[in-house]
Amino acid sequence: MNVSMEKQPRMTETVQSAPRGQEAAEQPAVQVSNLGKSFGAVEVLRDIELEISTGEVITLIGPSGSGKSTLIRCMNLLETPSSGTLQVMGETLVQDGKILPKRSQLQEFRAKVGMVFQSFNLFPHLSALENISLAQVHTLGRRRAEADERSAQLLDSVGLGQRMNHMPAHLSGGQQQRVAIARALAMDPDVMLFDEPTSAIDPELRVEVLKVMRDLAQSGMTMAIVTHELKFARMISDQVLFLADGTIVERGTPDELFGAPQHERTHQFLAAIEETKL
Amino acid sequence: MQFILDLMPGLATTFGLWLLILLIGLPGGLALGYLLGLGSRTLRVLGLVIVNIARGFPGLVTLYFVYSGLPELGVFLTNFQAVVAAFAFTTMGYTAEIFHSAIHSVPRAQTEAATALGLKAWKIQVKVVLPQAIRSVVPTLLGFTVIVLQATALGYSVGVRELTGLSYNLGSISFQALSYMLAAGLIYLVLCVVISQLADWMQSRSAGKRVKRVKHSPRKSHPTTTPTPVA
Amino acid sequence: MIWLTDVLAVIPISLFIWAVSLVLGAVVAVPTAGARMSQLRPVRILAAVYIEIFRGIPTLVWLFVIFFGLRTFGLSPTALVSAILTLGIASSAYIAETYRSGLSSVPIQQREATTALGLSPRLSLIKIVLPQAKPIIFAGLGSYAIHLLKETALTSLIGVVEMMTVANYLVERGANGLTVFFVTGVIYMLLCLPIAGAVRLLGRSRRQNRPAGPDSLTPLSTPTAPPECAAPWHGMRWHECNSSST
Repeated sequence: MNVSMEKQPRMTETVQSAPRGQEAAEQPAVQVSNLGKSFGAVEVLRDIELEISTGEVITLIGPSGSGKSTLIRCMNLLETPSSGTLQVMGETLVQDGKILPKRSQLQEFRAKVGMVFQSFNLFPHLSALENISLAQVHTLGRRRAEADERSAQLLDSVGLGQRMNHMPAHLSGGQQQRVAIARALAMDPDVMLFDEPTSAIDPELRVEVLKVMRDLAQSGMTMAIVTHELKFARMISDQVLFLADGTIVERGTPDELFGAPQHERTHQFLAAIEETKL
Repeated sequence: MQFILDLMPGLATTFGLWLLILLIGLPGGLALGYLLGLGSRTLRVLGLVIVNIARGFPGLVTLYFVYSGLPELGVFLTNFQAVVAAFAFTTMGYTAEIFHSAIHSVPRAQTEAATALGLKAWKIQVKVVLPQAIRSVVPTLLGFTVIVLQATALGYSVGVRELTGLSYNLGSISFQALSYMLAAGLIYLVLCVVISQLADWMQSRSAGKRVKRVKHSPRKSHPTTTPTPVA
Repeated sequence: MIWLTDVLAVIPISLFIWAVSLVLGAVVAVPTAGARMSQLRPVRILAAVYIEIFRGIPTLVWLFVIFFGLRTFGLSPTALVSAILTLGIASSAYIAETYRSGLSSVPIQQREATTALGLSPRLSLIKIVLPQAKPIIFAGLGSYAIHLLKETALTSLIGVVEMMTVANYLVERGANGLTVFFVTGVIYMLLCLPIAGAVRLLGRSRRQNRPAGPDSLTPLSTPTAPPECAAPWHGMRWHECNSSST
C-alpha cells in the first residue's frame, strides 16, 4: 500500500466533511468509559476507556478476534454494550450498559455517525446514486432532487462521478467501498467509523479507498478506523490503539506505538506482521 | 386413543406402501439420473420426458392412469400394487433430478484422480463418484421420504385400506368420521416430525463433518484477499 | 375424443379453486410469516406449530377433516367451499415459509447498513429487504402455485366436480382409461406452463443483473437462491424440489 503523505493526491477534488459547530470542540466527539461487551458467556471487550477528540483520527489495530470490530460496532450501537458508558457528541447514549434514547431518537443519532463496513453492504438493487440518496430522503427528509444533487457531488469527490448510474454489481470492490463512504458522508455525520474498510478488496484496488480516507482525514473529519493496513494507520492516525483479547493493551501516537512499542504483546504482533512481508 | 389403536392395521399398510415405493423408486431414480447425464441424445430426451411426466402429473392422475388405464394394455394390478407402481414412478422422476445434480456436483478432479490411478470407468463410478454423490443427498432424500409417506394417503382413492382409507371406512361405519380422521392426521404428523428431525440431525452431522474437513485442509486462499473474520 | 370437451369444460372450476385458495393462502401467510419471525418466543412457537401441523399432515386428510369437521359443528358447507377453505389454509402454511425463507435470504448486513443510516425498520423492510427478497419469494410462490394446481385434483375425492371427477366418470362409462387419464395429466401440465411463465416474469427483478465487475468479489450482499431441494426438510413437498430442466 503506497499511500504516502508525500505523494501528491491525484484527485483534484477533495472530500469535504460537513461543517461543524464550534461548540462541539471542547468536548470529545466520542467518549467510551469502562465499556464491556459479552456474547453470552464470552467476554469480547472489557474495561475499554477511549476518547476521540473532534477532528481526531484514531486507528484500532490488533489480531483477529481481539474485539476491535466489536468495539467500533458498539460506537454506533450496532452492538449493545453490556456495561459501561458511551457518549457521542456530548450526548449520553449508553449508561451502565443501558441504552438511554428511545428508538426514534436512536435513528436520528445513527445518522450522525457514519459507518463503513468491511463488506461494503451497498444495496444491490439500487444504483450508486440511489444508494446514496435513499437515507437522505428518508432519514433526513431531504427533497429527492436535493438529495440526488448532493449524491452526485459526493460521487464526484470520491472519483466516481462517471459511475452514478451503475449498479453495485458492476463496480469493483474499491469502487463499491467508495460509494459506501459517499453514502455515509451524505448524512453529514459528525463521526465516521470504518470497520476494516479494505479487507475485502483486492490489494491493487485498496489504494483508491485509502486515498479517499486520507482526504477525508485531511478535511478534519473525526474518524475511528479498524484496519490491518499498518502503514496506512501510521500515516493517517493521530492516535493508534492496539487491542488484544478484548482490552486496549497499548495506545500512543503512531511513532510511539510503531516506533517503540512498550508492551511485549504489541511487539509480537508488529513483528509477526513484519515477517509476513518477506 | 382407541381411534389410534383401531388404525394400527392401516399404519402397517401405509408403512408397507412407503417402503416398497422407496425400494423401487430410489434405485429407479438413480438409474434415471444417470440416463439424464448420458451422452446419447435419444436416451437423454427419453429420460427428460419420463421425468417431466412424473413431476407434471398430479399424483392422483398418475395413480388412476396406472389403476384404471393400464388394464387397457392388459396390465392388471391390484390396488396396492397400483399405488406402489404409481408413486414409485413419481419418486423416480423427482429423485432422478436430485441424483443427477449430485453426481454432477462431485468435482471432476475426483474422476481425473481416479483415472490417473488406472481405475476402470465403472469402478470409478461405483467406488469414487457414487459414494460422494449419495452422501451429499441423504438428508434431501430423507426429507423426500416424508413426501412419499404423505402421498400414500391417496391409496384411499383406489380402495387401499392404509391409514387414510381405513380411517375413512371406520369413520363411516361408526359415524365417528371426524375423530378417526383426526387420529390419522395425528399419526401422520408424528411420523413426519420424526423423519424430519432425523433428516435435520443427519444434515447437521454431515455439516459438522464438512467443517472439520475444511479445518484440516491447508489454507489455499490468498491471505490478503480473504476477508478476515470480524475481530 | 368427444369426451375431451367434457373434461375441458370443467377447467374453469379447477382454476377457480386454485386461484381462490392461492390468494387466500398468500394473504393469510403474511401474518403467519410475521408471527413466525416475531421477537416474542410464544408467538413464534405458535406459528411454527401451525405451520408444522399443516405441512405434516397430507392434504387429503385435511380435506376430510375440514369437510367432516364443519358438519360436526352443524355447518353444511358445499364440497367446493370446504375444498377452497382447506387448500387455502394449507397453502398459508407453505407460503408463510416461502415468505420467511425469502426474507431471511437477505444478508443481515443489509439490515445493519440501513440501521447505520438511521432508516426505520419499516422503511428498511420496504425499501431494502423486500425488493431483494422478491425474486426468491416469487420463485417459491411459483413452484407452490404449480403444486397447488395439481393438488386441486384431490378435491374430486370429496365430491367437487372438477377435471378428475369428470375423467373418472367418463372412464366408468366406458371411455378408454389409458387415454382419458393421460390426456387429463397433460392438461394439468399445460395449465402449469403459463403459471411458470408468469412467475418468471413477475420475479424478474427490475435490473439486478450481475455479471461481476473487474475485481468484485462476489458481492457479499447479493442474495443467493436457495439450493435445489434444500432445507427446510420439515414437510417438504413435491414442489420444493425444483427441476433444473425448466
